[in-house]
Parts: sequence; C-alpha cells; structure tokens
Amino acid sequence: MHDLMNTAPCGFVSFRDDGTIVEVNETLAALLHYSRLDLLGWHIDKILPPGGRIFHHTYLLPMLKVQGSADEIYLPFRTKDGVDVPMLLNGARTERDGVFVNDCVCLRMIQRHEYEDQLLQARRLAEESSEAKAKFLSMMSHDLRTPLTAIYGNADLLAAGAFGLLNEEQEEAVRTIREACRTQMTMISDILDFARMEASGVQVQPSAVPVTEAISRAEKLVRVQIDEAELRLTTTDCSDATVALADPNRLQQILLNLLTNAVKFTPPRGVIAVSCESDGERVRIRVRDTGIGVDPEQLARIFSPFVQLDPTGARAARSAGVGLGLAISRDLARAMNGDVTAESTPGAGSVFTIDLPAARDGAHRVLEQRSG
Amino acid sequence: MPDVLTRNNVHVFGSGSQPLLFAHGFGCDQQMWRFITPAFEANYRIVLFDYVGSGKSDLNAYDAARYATLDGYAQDVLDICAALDLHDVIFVGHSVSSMIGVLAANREPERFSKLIMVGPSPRYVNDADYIGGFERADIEGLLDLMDKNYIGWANFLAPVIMKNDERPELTRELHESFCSTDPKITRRFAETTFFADNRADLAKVRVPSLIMQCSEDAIAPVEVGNYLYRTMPGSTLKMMKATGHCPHISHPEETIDAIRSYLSAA
Repeated sequence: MHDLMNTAPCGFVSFRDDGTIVEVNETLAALLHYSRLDLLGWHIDKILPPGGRIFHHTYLLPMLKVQGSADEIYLPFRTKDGVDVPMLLNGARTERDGVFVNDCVCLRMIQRHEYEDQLLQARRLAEESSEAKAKFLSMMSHDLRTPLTAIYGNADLLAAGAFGLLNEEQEEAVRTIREACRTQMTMISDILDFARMEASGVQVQPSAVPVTEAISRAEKLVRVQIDEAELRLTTTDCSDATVALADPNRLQQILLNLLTNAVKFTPPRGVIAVSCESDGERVRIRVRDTGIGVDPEQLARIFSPFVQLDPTGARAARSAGVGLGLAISRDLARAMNGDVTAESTPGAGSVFTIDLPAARDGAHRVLEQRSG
Repeated sequence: MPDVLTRNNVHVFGSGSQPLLFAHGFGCDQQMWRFITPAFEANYRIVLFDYVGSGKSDLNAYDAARYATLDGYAQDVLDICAALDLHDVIFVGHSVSSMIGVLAANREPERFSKLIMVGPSPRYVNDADYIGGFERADIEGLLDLMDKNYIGWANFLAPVIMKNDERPELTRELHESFCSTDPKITRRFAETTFFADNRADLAKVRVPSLIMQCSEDAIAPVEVGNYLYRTMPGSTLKMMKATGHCPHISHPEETIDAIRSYLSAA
C-alpha cells in the first residue's frame, strides 16, 4: 500500500494543525524537487509561495478545521528552485494515532491553469468594458441634457411672449422646437435611467398601491396623445380592492411606457384596453392594444436594451426612441419582485402584462391611514 | 438599509454583562471563534458578527466605496456597538480585525475597555526598515490565487457584464458552505487588508491592549509583534507557543488561557 501511495500519479501530503508535515508521498516530493525525507517534519508553509501561505492560514486551514474538508482548492506549491507549480487540492481532516491530521491529495494543473487564466482575463476585460460603457452613457446623457434644458427654457420664454408677440409661423416653429426637445429629453432620461441601473442596480421603495389609482394617474398623462391618435382607452375589471406591493413612481413609469408604446403602434380608431386581475397573491395589469403587433422573432428580443420596433404611419417621425423603455420597465418590475411579459399576434395587436406581488391588507390600511 | 443586527448577522449570547466582542479576520466568518467562545460564555456577554461581505451578512448592504478602507469595517463595529448599546467592550480581533479594532477604539475610545489582538499587523508589506513580511508581488500572488479559487463557482460569471436574463437578486445570494463569499467582495477585502498601512494609528490608541504573537506566524512575523509593542501605548505582548496565524483555530486552549490571564490580571 505504501508503494502504491508513492507511485500514485498524484501528490499526497498530510500535516497537523500546527502545519508540521507528517506524511508526504514520493510523487509530490519529486515534483517539488525534494526527497520525501527532506519534507517530513517541515512546516507546510515552506513549500507554499507567500500568497499561498496566506490562503492556507485564512481559508484552507479554517475550512479543514471547522468544516472537516475542503474541495477543489487551487493552491500553488513552490519547488526547491523557487518555481510555483499550480495544483488542485482536495483535503480531509481525520484522526490518526490520537492526533488530528489534514490529508490532502493534489493534482498538477497545466492546461487547466492556462484556460482559467484566459477566462479570468476575459472576465476582467468584460467587466471593465461594461463599467466603461455605463460611465460613458451616464456622462453623455448629462452633457446632452444641459444644452437641451437651455433650448427648452428659451423656447418656453419665446412661446410666452417674453421677447414680444410671435406671428403664426414663429409660433409653429417654437412649437416644433419644444416638441423635439420633449422627445429628446425622454430619450436622454431613458439612457440615463438605464445607465444608472446598470451601474448601481435598481432602487425601489415598495408600498401598497391601489392599481386603479396608478392606472388613472398614468391615463391622465397619456390622454392628449390618445386623443391625438384617435384611439379609445378602456379600463375593465379594476377594483379599488386590487392593491399591489410596488413603488408607486416606478409602477407609473412602467404603465406610462406600456401605454405610450400602445399609442405608437396602434392605428387610428383602435382600442387600448387596460384590465386587472388578482388572486390574492399576485396582481396582474394587462395593457392590450389593437395595433400592428410584433412578429415572434422580434418578440423574443423586445425586452433587450436598444431594440427598437418600427412604428408606422404619421406618428413614426415623432415617436422615435432609443429602445430602452421595455428593458427599463422589465428591470423595474423585477426589482419589485415582479415582471413584465408580452404576447402578440402580428396584425391583431399585443398584450403586455405587469405582474406584481399583491399587498397584504395591513399594508394597504397603513397607507390609507397615512394618506388620510 | 436593513437593521445593523441583520446586516452584520449579529449573534449575542452568554450569561455575563460585560461585552466580549469577537471580530473575525480576512477569510471565513464568525464561526472561526467557535472553539473559543464556550470558555467565556458563563462570565461575559458574547457578541459575534460577520463583516458586510463576509459569512451570512447582507451582501446588498455592501458599498464598495465604504469598504475600500478599513474605516468602513471599523464603522461596522461601531454600528453594532451603537445598535446593542454596548459599553466597556472587550474587543477581540483576529488578524486584520486587530487594526479595525484600533480604528474603532480611536474613534470612540469611551466604548472600549480593552483590545485583544490575535496575530495583528499594522502593515503586511515591507517598507524600508519596517518588516511586514511580504512584498507587493506576494500580495498580488494572493489576489490571483483568490480569483482562481472562485473559478468553478456558480456565480463566477454572474456580474453585470450584460443584462442578466435571470433574476438579478439571485446573483447576490451566498453559497451556504462555510467560507463562501462573493468573489468580488472578497478580492476587494484582500486588497484593503493586505495593502493597508495603519502604523500611524497605533500611537493614538488610549485603550489598553494585548498583542498575541504566535511563533512562526507566516502572515504576521515576530518583528511585527515587537513593532506593535514598541509603538502602542498601554500594550502587553504575549508570545505564544502556538505556531501559525490562527491560534484560535489551531491552538484554542493556549488562546483561551492567554485571553483569560490578561483579563484576570487587569
């Protein structure tokens, strides 16, 4: 058995808690350019590089002592000539001759070590690139918004007659400037929101939100667009008792996104129907339209950032976006332990469903008392 | 923000009234003290915790800017003291926690009655005449090793390289086994710990302290223990027979005796 241990194609070392090596096989000794007898009685630290010693004391030994074993540990060993040999180690603690010892088998890693280096390098590059992208988006959005605020503010002053009365053509020109500014502002806000979420995650403050109130608030904000687009908005099955546990501002943002999308993609005389459903555990709000729909291939990518669908008709020119609305909406819903999903039939319309946890009665009452 | 006791996974037990606050070092978590605390339960109020980013702490509370220096970790200690309204605290810190204890005691000296430091070091990297035990390249070797030891972990590729189609909160959950931590946080903790320089903080300490120096400590050599003893006012140096850097794991009896003797002599 002893011979087998010494000829086995893997290293074996056994050390006490104080680090003293009490057994080692020929395979490991030869790999480190020592004789077996050299290593017996040495401290394990003597065959580890400095970083490996720290890891041994802060992770490996505590795991062996507290957990009884340690699996798949990457630990380089140092040869007599000072070269580090990457090893994969499994350890187990056992009692032999009345003394606790830590038995470890180790395998030399060569190719795997290189692959892991490449994987690590790739991960670092990907993370750096992701951080750089988020910083760039955030900086660009700020830089774009500042001059736009000045343009919008001055257009407001012109429209209000602060610099004299405008003739009809001038009024039309100022209206176009303000409309373009609003569109641009929305696009920049989307980019900024998305960059912020990528950089630091989504912050939400959930409370009990009666869905009828949320829908009614969102409806008021899109009323002008719905009328201009010659559409009809209906709300069904939403009772005051349906209360979601959500961040009210974030829920409104999602609803506005879905309603604005429905307006964009529904031809005149179409219908946008909002409905609600609750089973006591979950609340679902559906926004259904009779629009142009989305084909299955596009539907699969619709929640990915920067994916845009092509609105048709007269609204196309002023409905341009950056393709972040749905990505943001879904991230926000997920941050509230919910989700946004989509179903669609090309030519017949789409249904977007916001799924959220239902608020418990108590939470609703607290909110009512606070607002009352 | 969750409450501090949940955030830091705080456990309080024992029959005494004076708090004995145990702070784990770099690596693993409060379970490192499991061989020591039973000896003090009868006479002290034992407080155990995990630093944010370690053990079963709340990873969502991790703030890279706050924990970029040991001051952020010292704030964890002071937050716990405030949350439990602790006074006359005996702080027992292992390794890097010794310096975290120094920072906490310098900021709120009135809270602490003693500092017990197990394997302390104010600076791990050699600097001119100062012997810390390591060169910068050695620490970089450790960071590389830490990276590799998470290679097979399920959450290795989880960070936000691209939008995660799965639930993002899942990437913030710790694996259950002992010593499992978020790899990015652990790497940062390693950098914060091993590149720290707290030598200038030592002379400001006004709380009596015990330096427990192991023989043949590969992480905090004897020179470091002597340096601390020379520099820290009111310090006592205890040279231990125990070898290694974790006497509370490898030589719990001697560690218990040393703490007990210091507390009973004071």
